Amino acid sequence: MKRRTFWSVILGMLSVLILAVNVSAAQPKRGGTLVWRVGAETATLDPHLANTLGSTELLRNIYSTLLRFDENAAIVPHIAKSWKVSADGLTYTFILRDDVYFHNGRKLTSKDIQYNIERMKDPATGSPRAASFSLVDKIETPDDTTVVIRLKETFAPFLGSFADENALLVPKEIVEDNSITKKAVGTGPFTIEKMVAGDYVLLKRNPRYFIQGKPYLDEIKLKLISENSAIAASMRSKTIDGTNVWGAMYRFFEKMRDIRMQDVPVYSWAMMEINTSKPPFDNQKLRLALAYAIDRQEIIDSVMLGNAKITAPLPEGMVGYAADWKSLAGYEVDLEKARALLKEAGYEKGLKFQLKTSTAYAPYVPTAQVIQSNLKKIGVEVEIVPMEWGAYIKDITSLDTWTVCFHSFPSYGADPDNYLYRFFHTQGPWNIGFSDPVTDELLDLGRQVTDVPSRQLVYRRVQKRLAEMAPVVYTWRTRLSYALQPYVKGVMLGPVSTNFDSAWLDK
Amino acid sequence: MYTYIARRLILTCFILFSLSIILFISIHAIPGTIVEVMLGVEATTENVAALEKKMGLDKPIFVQYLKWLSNLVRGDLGDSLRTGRPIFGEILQRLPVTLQLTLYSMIISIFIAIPMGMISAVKQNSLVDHLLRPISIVGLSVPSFWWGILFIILISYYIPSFYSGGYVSIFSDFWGNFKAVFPPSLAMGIGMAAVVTRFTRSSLIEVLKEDYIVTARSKGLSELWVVGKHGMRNSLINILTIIGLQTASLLGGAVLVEVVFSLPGVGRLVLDAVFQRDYPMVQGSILVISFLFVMVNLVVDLLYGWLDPRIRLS
Repeated sequence: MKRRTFWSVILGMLSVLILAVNVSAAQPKRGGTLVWRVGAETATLDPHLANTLGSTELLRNIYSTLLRFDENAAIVPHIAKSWKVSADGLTYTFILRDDVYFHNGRKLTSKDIQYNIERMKDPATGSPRAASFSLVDKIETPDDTTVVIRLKETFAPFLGSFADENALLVPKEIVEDNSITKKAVGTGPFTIEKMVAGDYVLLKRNPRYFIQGKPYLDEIKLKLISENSAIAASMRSKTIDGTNVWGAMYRFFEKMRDIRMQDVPVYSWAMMEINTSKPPFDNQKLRLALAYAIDRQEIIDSVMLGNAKITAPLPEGMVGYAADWKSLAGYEVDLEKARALLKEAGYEKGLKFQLKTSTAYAPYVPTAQVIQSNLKKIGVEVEIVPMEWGAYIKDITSLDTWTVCFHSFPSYGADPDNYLYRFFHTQGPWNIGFSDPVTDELLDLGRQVTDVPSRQLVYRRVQKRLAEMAPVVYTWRTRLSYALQPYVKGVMLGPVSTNFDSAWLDK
Repeated sequence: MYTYIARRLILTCFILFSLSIILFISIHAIPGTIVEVMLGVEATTENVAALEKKMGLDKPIFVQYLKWLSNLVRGDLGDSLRTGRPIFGEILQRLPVTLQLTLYSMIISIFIAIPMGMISAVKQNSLVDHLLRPISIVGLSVPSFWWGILFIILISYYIPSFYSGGYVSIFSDFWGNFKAVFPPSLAMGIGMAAVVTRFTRSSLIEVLKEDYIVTARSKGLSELWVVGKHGMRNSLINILTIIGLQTASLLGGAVLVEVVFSLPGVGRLVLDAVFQRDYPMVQGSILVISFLFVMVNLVVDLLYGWLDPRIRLS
C-alpha cells in the first residue's frame, strides 16, 4: 500500500513536471520576423476596393474589422466588444472598444463606423462590398462607442458582413486628402514599413494595437514568390516560414520533411457558369444534360491530382448548410440521361459552344479540356477559348460577351447567402443571367428567417433547385493546406480568415 | 564624332516618341482595364464605370495620351495606377537588378564563349571542336527559364545554404547579392554564351584564312600571338556586334528569369504592369528599357571606331 502511494506521488510529480514543461513551451515569445509567402501583390491600397487575395493578404494586417471570424468561422468580437440584434432583426446595436487608435494617433469612434459603412455603400466608391450594406437605412451614433444601425428589411447575413476580412475600417481623413491609394493607415496589428514592388512588403509591429501585448511578432515580411519550384526551394532552405499550398504545389511539398502541413476547410470553389439569358442555354434541359455528362471526379483526379473534392453549391464546412451532393440532380455521371435530356431539349444532333476560361490560373484550361472530352461523348462540341486574365474579366463582366465560362471564386464569409444570392437571385449584383421565381423566393426567405434550423431547410432546398435548374456546374473545391516551419506557432488559419495577431516564433 | 553622338541622340528622341504612340495604342487595345483586373471575377458594369471615371480612364484615348505626353516633357513619368507611387522611382528601384543581371550574364558568357570559340576555331574539326559544338547547340536550344528552374532545384537540394531568399543590394550584403544574382545570370548567360561561341568560331575561322595571318605565321610569330593578336583583333568587330545585340536583348529578355527567381527587376515590373493594365507604368518602363537598348547600341558603334581606326564615325 505504502509502495503504491509512493509511486503515485512520483507519478503525480512527474505529470506536473511534464505539464509545466508543456506550458512553458506553449508560452508565446515576443519578437522576430515572420517571412510569409504571398503569390501576388496588392492590386490597390484602398481596402474598400480591394478584392483580390494579394490585396487581402496585405491589408488585413494593417486595417481591422468591426467583428471577426474565428478558426471555425464563428463570429467573435473585435473592435465591437458586444452587439445586440433586435427581435425583428432590423436594428443592430454595436458597443465599441474604447481603446482603438488609428496609426496616425487618432482615436476610432462610432462616427468612423458610420463613415465606413456609408463609403462602402455609396455606388460612387465602386466597392465590391456595397451589396452587403445596401439594406442599411439609418445609422445613429448616440455616443462615441455606440453604433445603432437600422435596416430596411431583415437581412440574416448582415452581421457576417462586418466580419468579412475585406470589410476593413479606414479613417476619413486619408480618403479626404486622397492619400488612401498611396498609404495605409489602419487600426491593425501592423503598419507598412517598406514596400519593395515585385519583391516584398515589410510590416512592423503596431505598439498601440488595441489587443494588449499583441502582436507577438516584431515584423512580418510578405515575400512575393509565384513560381512553384522557387516556393518549395525557399521552404526547404528556410528562407520563408510559411506558405499556402494547393493544387499542383502538393507535388513539391508532400515529400518534404521537417515541415508542418495543416489542412484548413475551404469555402472557395470553381464552377462552370452558363449564360442562361440567351439561347441555346435558356433551355433548362440542355443545361442539365451538360451537368449529367461532366465527370467531376475525372477533373479532380486528372487536373487536381486528387487534391480537391466534389462540391455542392455550399461548402461542406459550412455547418448544416451544405447539401449531400450525391442527392442532387446532375452530380453523378449518367450519359444515358444526358442524351435523353439533350433529345428532349431538341439538340439530338448535338451542338457546339464556346467555353471561355483564363490562362492565369493553372487548373483552368486543363479542367476545360476534361469538360470538352466529357461532353464530346454526348455529341456536344466545346471550343475552348483560353484568355489572358484582364481580357477574360472584361468579357465575363457583360452577359453579351460569353456563353459558358469557367473559373474559381474566393470565399465570401461564413453565411450561405453570400455564396448564392449574388449569382442566382434575379436582383443579385453578379447575376449570371439566371432568373427563376422559385429560387428568388427561397433566397429571399433565407435572408428573412434568422433561426438556424429554418435557414438550413431553406438553403437545402435552394441547392436542390439550383442543381435541377443547372445555371452553373459546380466542379471542385480544392484542398488547401498551409506549410509551416516547425517553429511557427499561433497563426490563426480559418476557412474565411487568417490572422497573425497571436503568431510567434519558437526559436 | 561629337556631332555623330548628338545626331544619334536626337534620332533616339524620335524613336522614343514614335514608340510611345505605338505603345499607348497597343496597351489600350488590349481588352480589360485596371479596374476590371482589380475587381476580378466580381466586377459589375456599374462598379467598373464608377471607378474608371474616378481614375480618368473614361476620357478619349488621345486626351489621355496628350496628358501623359505633356507630363513626360516636364520630366514626369506619372504615378502608378495601382500603387499611386511615382513611376520613375519604381523603375529606379528595379533597374539595378536588371542591369546587374545583364552585366553578370554578359561577363559570364564572354568568359565561357571567347575561349571556347577560339579553341573550336583553331582546332577546327578536331575532337575538341566536335565536342564543343554540340555543347553550344545545347546551350542555344535550352531556354533560360529551364536552366533557372534546374538551378533552383539543384541548389535547394544539394547546397541549400547557397539558396538565396531574394534580392539584396550589392552595397548592403555582397555575398547575399552574389547568391541572388549569380544563378539567374548563369541561366541567362548560357544561352548568350552559345551564340557568342558560334560567332567567335566562325569569324575567327574566316580571319585565319586571310593573307596577313599567313604572313604573320611565315614571319615565325608564335601561334598564340598570331591567333590572339592578329586573329582575334580582326574578328572582334563581328563578335562585338553580336555581344552588343545580345546584351541589349538581355535587358528586355530578363523577364522569364526574373519571374522564376522572384527577382524584382524591370522585366517583371513590365510584365506585372501589363497584366494589371497599369498603363502609365507599362509606358514608363518600356521607354526606359528602349532608351537603354538604344544606348547600348550607341556604345557598340563607338567601340567600333576604337577597335578599328579605319571605321570613321560621321
